[in-house]
Amino acid sequence: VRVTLVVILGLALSGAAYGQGGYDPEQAVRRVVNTGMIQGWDQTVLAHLGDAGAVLATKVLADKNLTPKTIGSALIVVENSFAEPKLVEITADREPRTSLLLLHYLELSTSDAESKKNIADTRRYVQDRYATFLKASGQ
Amino acid sequence: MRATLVICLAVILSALGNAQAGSDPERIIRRIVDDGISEGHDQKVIGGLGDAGAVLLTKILADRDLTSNTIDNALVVIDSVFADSNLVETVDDRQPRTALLLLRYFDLSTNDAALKKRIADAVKYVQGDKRRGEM
Repeated sequence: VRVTLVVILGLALSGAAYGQGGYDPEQAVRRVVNTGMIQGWDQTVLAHLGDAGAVLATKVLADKNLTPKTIGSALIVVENSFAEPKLVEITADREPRTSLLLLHYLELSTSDAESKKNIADTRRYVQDRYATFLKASGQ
Repeated sequence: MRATLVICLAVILSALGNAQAGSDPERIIRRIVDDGISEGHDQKVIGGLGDAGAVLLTKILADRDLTSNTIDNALVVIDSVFADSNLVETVDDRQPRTALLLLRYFDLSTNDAALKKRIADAVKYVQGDKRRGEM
């Protein structure tokens, strides 16, 4: 019975901790950058951020060495932040500005050919997503 | 009489426009980056921004080629927004995080030794201010 109680308490505490982190966009960005993976809930959080996702990425990346893995994780953040620009609540954040600077910074920081290709693909992706959004909204 | 009214209206509208631009941090930062000119009133507006000032810089610099001149002007902005972390209202913005990434970006973007030294000085400056902010 004691073991079961300890397990239930552990699960409850970890669930509560995840729940608290899950609502905070910076925690979501940090989790993606640190793990290189994205979970469903983080995807939902990032999709509402747009360029603010890149701003948070600059803050999370500020004290990190940029390995190809870290760069790949940052690209996940940028791409998911621009998955659906119409979901982004702050109109100004629908346009990729900090995102483009961040991508340029990542490009200058690496000599890894595959990372450079992935960065170029992400740049194209966010520019396409924004152009598609502008076209659909008649702007 | 009508001409005088039109002139008065134009002067008032232009003054209103200038007043609005004068307190918009993004416009002030854009002007400093473009012209390298900082006016007395600017410090009052951008001095309380902290890291939010660096975020505005990322947006302004996103579509630009970084010349030595642009980087120099951007360093003026970074120094100004971190002049006194006690003036920064948003606690999170007292920490130079985007600013440090931006300074690393400048460093990667230039081969000019004198400019690299000024960038290194700016890193020390904002980090020194960061330590003061934590005290």
